[in-house]
Amino acid sequence: MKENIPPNRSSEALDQLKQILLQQEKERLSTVEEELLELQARFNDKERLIESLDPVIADLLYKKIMESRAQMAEALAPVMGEALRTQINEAKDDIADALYPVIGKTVRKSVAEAMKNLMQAINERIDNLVSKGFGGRKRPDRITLLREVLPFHVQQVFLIHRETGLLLSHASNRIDPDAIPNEDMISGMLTAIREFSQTAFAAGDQSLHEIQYDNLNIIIEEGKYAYLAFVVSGTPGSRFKEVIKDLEHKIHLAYYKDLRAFSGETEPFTPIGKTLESFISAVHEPMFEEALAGQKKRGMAPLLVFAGLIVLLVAALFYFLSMDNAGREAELQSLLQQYRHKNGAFFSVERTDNRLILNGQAFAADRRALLQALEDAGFEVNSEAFTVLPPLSTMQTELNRLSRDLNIHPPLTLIADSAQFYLTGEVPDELTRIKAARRFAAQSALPLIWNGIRVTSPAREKLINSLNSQALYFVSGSARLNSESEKNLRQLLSMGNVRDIRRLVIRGCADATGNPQRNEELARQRARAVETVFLEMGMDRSRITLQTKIFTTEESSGVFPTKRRVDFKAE
Amino acid sequence: MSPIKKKICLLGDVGVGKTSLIRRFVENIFDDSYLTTIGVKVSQKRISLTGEKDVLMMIWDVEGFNKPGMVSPNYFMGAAGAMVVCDLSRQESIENLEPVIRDFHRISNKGKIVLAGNKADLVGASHPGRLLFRETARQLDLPFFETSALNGQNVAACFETLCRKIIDPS
Repeated sequence: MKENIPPNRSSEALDQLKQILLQQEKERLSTVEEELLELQARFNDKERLIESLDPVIADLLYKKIMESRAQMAEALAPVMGEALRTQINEAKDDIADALYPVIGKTVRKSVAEAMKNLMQAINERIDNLVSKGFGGRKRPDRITLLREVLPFHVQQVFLIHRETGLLLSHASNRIDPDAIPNEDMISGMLTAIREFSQTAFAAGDQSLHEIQYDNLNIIIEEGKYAYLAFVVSGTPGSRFKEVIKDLEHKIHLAYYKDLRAFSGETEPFTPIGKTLESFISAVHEPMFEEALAGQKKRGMAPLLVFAGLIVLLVAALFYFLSMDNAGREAELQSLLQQYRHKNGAFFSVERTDNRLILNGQAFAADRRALLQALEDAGFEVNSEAFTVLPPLSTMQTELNRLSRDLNIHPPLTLIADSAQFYLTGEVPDELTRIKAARRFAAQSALPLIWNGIRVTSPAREKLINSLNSQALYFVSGSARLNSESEKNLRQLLSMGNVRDIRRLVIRGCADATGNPQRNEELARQRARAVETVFLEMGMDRSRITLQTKIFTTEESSGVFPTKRRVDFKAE
Repeated sequence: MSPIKKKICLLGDVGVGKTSLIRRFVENIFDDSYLTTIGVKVSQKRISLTGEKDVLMMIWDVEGFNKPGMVSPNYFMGAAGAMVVCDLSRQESIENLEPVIRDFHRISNKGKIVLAGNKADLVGASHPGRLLFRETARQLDLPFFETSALNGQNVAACFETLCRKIIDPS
């Protein structure tokens, strides 16, 4: 059979057979070749390669990092480190700009927080040491104590007249006077802000004690006629308040009359400037000034601050450990505390060795008892500035007299606590409320809180104001109150109670046209027509006065548009 | 020599030109945002009067309201005087002078007052506002000036008159 088939036919048949058997494989091979070429092209084109790998690489990396963090870090560190180094070297400014808003703020906040905590811890520690009275040496005064241990900085002190907001005295530790904004205007604005906060939050006699701005605090210590404002950077210790209260109290004692009679002359207060400067330099710690202000030494400043604090802490510890009069000190403090809680008592104590100087006031019996107790305890006491308060009964009598003068029934009530007087009661109007408070405050040696005085009838004020700005108009030659005017008047009077009007002048007016006698009579009749309405509404006739006014031709009609009218003056 | 310090208030309806008058007159001024924030802005001006000590006027520019009685009276405390401003082209602002003065005197009963009829550049010589302002000032028996913050007319004279009234009440 083999021999019967020609050779060319045999080859053709083989090809056909191959065609039949391998056609499918050929097509597959061709497709694989195309795919391979496509893959090679994709691999050689970086952008296309990234596009392909992007969906999987993030998941893969995450999975890998989670499975073997150490290995990944080891593998990536050299590459990443090098890449970051190169990038930083090439674009330092750009990287700094990008990172500063985030890292700068975070670092600053952390450092400030850490410093604040450290300062508070030190302050608490020192306070504990002082109250326990370690050791036996003489106890340093509070200013010295503050200077030694408190890392804060008093930048400026203002003494400001409380009522007017005018600056009485000022001290600053700034060397460059141009760097200080106008202190008179600051005093005014500070007072305005205090008034605003009192009004906005209906705080009555309570007031603003502290304003915080970034790392600056404005601490306010209020006295009867003036207040002190301290601009402080850093964190003052818990005893700072006590020290500034003392300062305020001394200023009020020394300048009481000048402060009370202040009318714009600031010369009497010139010496206070020196006192305030001494205060700043006494509290001021030079090392911290350098740390705060030293631009050139900025790098060293934090180290100096920490080193200084540690040295001071050790020194303070050593100092207090050597003190030996703890028991005596505790006895004094306990005695003072006992009398500080007495009604109306308000005083401070300066101590030099065994000598005590008392500043302040207390009721006579308490004052006598305290002085006796201190002498019994072996202290030598100077009580010249420790004044006697009148007894409460005297103040209440005074208040009753004042209430009578101002027609306040029932009389206002007086309540006293350790540091202030409170007035309560009801008054007919705002003006009486202010008068009562001012007159009592002028006689009171203690701060006065008077937001307990309530105005009983705000409607009365409204009624009186409306009447004083009201006029009723008449047609020429007529004294007849037209129905519209009468209706309006009755409506106005029904806003309040006419019996609340203490005095009313009804003025009938006319112009000078025609017979003068007739005009006078017309004006009187107009007044009477209006009076009738008031009487019908229940007003007592004895409180009403009728007047007439004839306007000459040259005379203007005043604030009202015509001369033919009736107007009022109500109180 | 230290000047005598005095607090004065600048009062009047909203939009009468108080702040513009201040800008014409004072040396130092805070940002206007204080006015909208707390309702008052403090400025200062030192005035030399012949034969008298210098006076440092601390001027409290109190935010205006269209209704008298809306301003916190606390801002008037301790003021030695007030310049009460109205707009000569707005009758309502002239009519409100009296109640504003009454509010001020409730707190500062001895405070001296000078009236300023502002925007004089906007109204003619026989404008009803100008006549009403003069009449009101005469009725109230108070010194008055027709002022213009735009061209400076009478601005300094108005402040100086107030200053003299405060220093020499006679």
